[in-house]
Amino acid sequence: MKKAVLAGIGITTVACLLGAFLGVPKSRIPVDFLAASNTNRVARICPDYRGIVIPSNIAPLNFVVDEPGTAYGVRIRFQGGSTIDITSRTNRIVIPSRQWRELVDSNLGCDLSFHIHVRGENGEWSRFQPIVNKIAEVPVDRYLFYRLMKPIYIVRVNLAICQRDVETYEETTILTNRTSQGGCINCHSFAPNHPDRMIVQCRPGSGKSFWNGMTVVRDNEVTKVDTRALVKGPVSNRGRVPHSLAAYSAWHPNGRLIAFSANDISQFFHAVGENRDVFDAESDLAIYDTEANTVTTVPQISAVDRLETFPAWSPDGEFLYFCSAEPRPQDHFREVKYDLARVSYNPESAEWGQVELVLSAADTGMSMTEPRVSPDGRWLLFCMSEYGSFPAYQPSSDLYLLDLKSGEYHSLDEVNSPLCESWHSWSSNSRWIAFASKCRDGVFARIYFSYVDETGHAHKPLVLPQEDPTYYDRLTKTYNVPELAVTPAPARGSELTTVMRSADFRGGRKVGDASSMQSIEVP
Amino acid sequence: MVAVQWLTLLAIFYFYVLLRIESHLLYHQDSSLFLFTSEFLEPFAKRPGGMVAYLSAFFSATMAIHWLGSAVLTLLTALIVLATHQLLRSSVGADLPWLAVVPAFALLMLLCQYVHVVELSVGLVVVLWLARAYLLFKNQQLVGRLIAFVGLSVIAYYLAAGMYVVLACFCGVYELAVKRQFLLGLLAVSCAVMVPLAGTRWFDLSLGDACAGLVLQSTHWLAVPTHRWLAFGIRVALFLFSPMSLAVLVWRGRAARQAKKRTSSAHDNDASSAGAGLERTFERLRWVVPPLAFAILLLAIDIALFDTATKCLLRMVCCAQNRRWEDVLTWSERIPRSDAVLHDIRTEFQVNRALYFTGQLPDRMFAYPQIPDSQTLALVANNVVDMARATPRQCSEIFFELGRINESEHMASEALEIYGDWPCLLERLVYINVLKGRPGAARRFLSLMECSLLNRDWARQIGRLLAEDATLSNDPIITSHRDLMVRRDSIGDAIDQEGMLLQLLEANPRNQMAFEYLMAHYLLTRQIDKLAANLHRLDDFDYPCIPRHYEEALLMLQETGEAERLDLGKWRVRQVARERLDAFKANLSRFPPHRTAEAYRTLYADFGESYYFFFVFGGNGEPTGSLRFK
Repeated sequence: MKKAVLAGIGITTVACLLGAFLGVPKSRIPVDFLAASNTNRVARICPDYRGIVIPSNIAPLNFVVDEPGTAYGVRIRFQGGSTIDITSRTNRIVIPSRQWRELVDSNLGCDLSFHIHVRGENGEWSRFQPIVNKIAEVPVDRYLFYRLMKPIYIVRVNLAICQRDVETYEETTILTNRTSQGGCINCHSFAPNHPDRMIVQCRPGSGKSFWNGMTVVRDNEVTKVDTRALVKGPVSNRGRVPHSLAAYSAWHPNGRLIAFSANDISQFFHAVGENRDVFDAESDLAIYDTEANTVTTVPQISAVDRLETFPAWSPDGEFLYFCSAEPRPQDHFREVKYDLARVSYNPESAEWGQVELVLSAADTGMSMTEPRVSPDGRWLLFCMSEYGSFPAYQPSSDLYLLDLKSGEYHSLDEVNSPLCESWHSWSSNSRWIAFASKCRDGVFARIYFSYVDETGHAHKPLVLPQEDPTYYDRLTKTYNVPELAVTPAPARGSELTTVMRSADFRGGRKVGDASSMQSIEVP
Repeated sequence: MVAVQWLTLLAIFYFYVLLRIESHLLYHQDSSLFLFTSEFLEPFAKRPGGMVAYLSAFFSATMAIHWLGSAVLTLLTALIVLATHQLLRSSVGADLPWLAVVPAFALLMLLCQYVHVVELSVGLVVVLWLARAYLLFKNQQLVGRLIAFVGLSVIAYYLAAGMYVVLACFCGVYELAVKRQFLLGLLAVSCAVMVPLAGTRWFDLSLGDACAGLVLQSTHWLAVPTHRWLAFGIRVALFLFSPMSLAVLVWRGRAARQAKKRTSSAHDNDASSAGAGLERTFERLRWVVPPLAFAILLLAIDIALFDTATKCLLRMVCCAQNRRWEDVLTWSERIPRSDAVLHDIRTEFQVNRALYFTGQLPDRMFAYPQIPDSQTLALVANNVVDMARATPRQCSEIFFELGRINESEHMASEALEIYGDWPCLLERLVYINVLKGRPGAARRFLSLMECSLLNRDWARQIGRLLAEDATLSNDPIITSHRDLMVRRDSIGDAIDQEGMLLQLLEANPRNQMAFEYLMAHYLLTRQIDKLAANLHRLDDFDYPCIPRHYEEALLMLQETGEAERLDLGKWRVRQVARERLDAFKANLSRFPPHRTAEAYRTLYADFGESYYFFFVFGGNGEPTGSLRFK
C-alpha cells in the first residue's frame, strides 16, 4: 500500500513536470508582415547567409538574427511565390525541415529571400531589406567527411573522422583515435566512382608500432598495409619510399592504384604569429597497387634532388599532378616553395612520361600545394601560400583555380579571406567545392561550400549548416580535410579499428625504422 | 541504527571532508567545465559509462564550492551506505548497519590519499541501487529474474560501463548462494567479464574505455595516489564488498543468527527497562557509541593514510591559481621534509614562481631546496614533447607570465587536449587570443564558458568588454602582457630557456620576471660568468642594491679570478657578503676534499641558504630530516 502511494506520487510529479514543459501551449507571436516599418538596410545574420548560392539538397539554413529586439519574424519567400513563416521570441530562426525541403526542391535555380522583421522594445515591428540568395540547380555530394578535433599540437587525445549528411544534420563518427590510444588518424581518402573504396592512415599514440599503417577498404574487405614493406624491385627502393609510411594519398580513377607520398616531416613552432609550422625534409611519391599488393616508384616522382608531395590524379587517370620543390635546410624553411607539376601515366603498361611543370613557384613567388582536379577535368584547385608544404598553418594560404584548358589561373576572391583557406575537395558534379577556412576567427577552421560555375567563378561560400545556428560560436574544435562523396563510408568503427589494431599486415610489415614513427599532426 | 545516529555519522563525515580533506582541493585535480548544453551531453550519451561520467562532471564542478563539494561527497557516500544496507537486508534479511558503513570507510581511505572519488561514488550509487532494483524481482520465477537481470544489465552497463561488474557479481552471488540457481548465477558472474568485452565490439571501444570506472584514469599528477596499489586494492574492495558480504553472510548463516539475536535483544531491553535507573542512563547514552566508534576509526585511518604532502601540493596549486604567493611558500614549507615530492620539479617550480612574485627570488631563492637544473624555473625540458605531456598547464602559466605568448598558447592547447576544458586554461586562451589580435577566437572560448554555471559571469563580463573594445586595451592583464611580448619571430625557442629569456629582454629590457629568471637560470646552472655579464641590466630596474645571491655569485666568480675584468658601474658588493664568504671558506677549509659529505652536513645549518653552499656542493637539499632552514 505504502509503495503504491509512493509510486502514485512519483508518477503524478513526473506528469506535472512534463505538462509544465510540454503541455502548455505556447502563444504564437502575431506578425503583420506588411504593416512593419521599413529599415533601410539588410539585417545582420549569423552565419552569414547573404548573397550566396545554396546547394539544392542542403539542410535548412538556420540562423541567428544579430539585431536587438523582443521578437523576430522571418518570411522565407521563394521565387515561385511560396513562403515559410517563422516567428520566434528569441533571435534563433529554426526553419522547419520538411517545408524547406519541399520548397527548395520545387524552386531549383530560383531565388529565395529572407524577409526579416524585428519587434523593438516599443512593440513596433521593423522590416529589414530582404536577403536574396539563389538555389543552385545542382546538389552538392550528399556526404561530407572531415576530421574534427581541438587545435592540436603534439598530444592527440580526442580526434575523430566524421561523416555528415548535408541533407540533414546527421553526423556519424567513422573513427576516433580513442580506439588507437590517442594516436593519429588521418588522410582519409575515397576513390572516385568506387564507393566501396577508402583509405585511412593510422599512427599509434605510444608503443604499439604495429598500429602504424594504411588501412585500405576495398571490395568490402578491410586490410592494413605497411607500404615500406611492399616496395618492389631495386628501382623502387629509393628516397623516402622504403623508410616512411604513406601520408598524403590519392586513388587512381580505376580504383586499383593509390598514389601516395612518403615524407620525412617535422613540426616546429614560431615565437610570433601562427604557432605551428611543418617542415618536409624529404618526400617522394610512390604507387600502391591494391591488387598486386606492391609499392613501386620511378625517378620522375621520387627524384633525389626534389621534394615531391600531394599527389592528385586527373579524372581520366592519365596524369598524376603533384607538388615539387627543391630541398632546403630547415633554417631556410621560408625559401621552400613548391611548383605544381604533372607526369603522364599509362595504368595498363605502368609507363611514366616526363615531368611537366604546370605552374612554377619562381613565376608565382608563392608555394603551391594540395592540387585537386575537378571530376570533369577542366579545373585544378590548389592552395598558394608564402612558403612550405602545409598551408593549413599559414594565414597567407588562399585557394586558386587553374584552367587546365587555357593554363590560366586566378584567385577565388569570393572565397578567400585574409586568413587561411585550405583542404579542399570537389563535388562529383564539379560544381561545388568544400574547403576549410579559418576566416571566422583565425584559429578554428569551419567547412564552407562554394558554387563554381562553368566559367570558373566561385561564388560567395556558405558555412556547413548546423541545426543549432549558434553551434559554431562555442565550438572550440577545428575541421579539416573535408572530402565530399556521393555515398556513405564503406566501413566504420570496429570494422576499421579491428584491423587497425591487429598485427596482421597484408604482405608483412617493416619493423625498426624509428624515423618513420614520427607522427606529427599532418592529415 | 536510529536516525540521529545516522545523522551524526553523516555530520562527522561531512566535517571531516570539509575541514580535513578540504574538498575544494579535489577541484584542482579535475576542474573540467560542465556545460548545460545538448552538445556537451551528446558525447556522454553515446558511450557506455557516459552518463555516470556526465553526472560526475556535474558533481565534480561542485567541488569548486567548498561546502557544496563536501555535501555532495557526503550525500553520495550516504547513498552508497544506504544501498548496501538495503541490499543486505533485502537479500538475506540481515540488518547490519555497521557492515553497510564499511564502504564509507573505504571512500574515506581513498579521500585521505586525495583520490578523486566522485566518479567512483556516482558509479557505485548507480549500480548498487540497480542491484537493489533486481531484488524487487526476488520472488519472481527464474525466467522473470533472468529477464530482470538482462534488462538491468543493459541499463547498468550503459550507465556505468566497467562498474557494471558490481551488479553482475551481486546478482550472481545472490542466485548462487541464496536462490541456489547455479545456471543463472554463473551466467550473471560470467557477464561481469563478458559484457565489457562485448562492449569493446559493440561500441567500438578500447578495453580501457569498455571497463571505464574500474581503474583510476586521471592524468593529473596530483590525482595519482602516492600508494597506487593500496588505492587500487581499496577500489577493488569497494566493488566486491556487496557481493562478498552477501556470500559471507549466507555462508555463515549470519542472517538467521542476527534475527535471533535481535529477538533476544528486544527481550533483554524489555527486561532492562524494568531494571535499575543506572542501566536506564546507560541505555540513553548508547546512541553515542556508534558515532564515537566511527570517529575513532576515522582518526585511525587519518593517522595511517592521510597524505599530507599531496594536500600541501594541492594547496600550493590552489594558492598559486589565486595568486596568494605568500601562502604558496607557507604550504611548501609544510611538506614533510622526508617526502620525495618536495624535490619534484613541479613543486620547486611553484616555489620559485612564488618567490618571484613576492620579490624574494634574487635574495632568498636558496632558502628553499634547489637542484642544479634550471628546469625548476620554467619547466623547460630538452624535448618539447616531454613538456607537452608532463607539464603543459604549468608551462603555459609561466610562459604567459613571462610574456612568451605563443609558447603559452601551445602549452595551453596541449593541456586542453589532455585535461579537457579547464576554466583556467580557457581564461588564459581568451587573453592569449586577444593579445594575438584574434578576438573572434577569444569569443569562442567565452561562449563556451558562458554555458557553465561557475564561469558564466566572468565570461559575460569579458565578452561585454570585448564587444566594446576588441583589444581590451583597458584590461590590466592585457596591457601588462602586451608590453612583454616578443616581436621578432624565431623557431623552436620553447626548449631553450636562456635564449627565450634573452629574447624577452631584447623585446622589453624592463621585463623583470625575464631578468630574474635569467639570472636564476645562470645561478642554477652555475654559469656565474654569464650572470656577471648581465649584471648591467640591474640599471633597468629599481633594486636598492645588488640582490644577495647575485653578490654571492660575483664573489664566487672573484674567487676564480674572473671577476677582475668586471665593471659593476654604480653597483657595489656589500661587506656583509664578503664576510659570509670568508666564514664559509674558513669552515669549508676544515674538511679535506674526501670528506665532502661531512662538510655538507656540517655547513648546511649555517650556510645552506647561501649561493656559496649551492655552488660548492651542487645542491642544497636537506641532509637529514632534523635540519631545517632558518
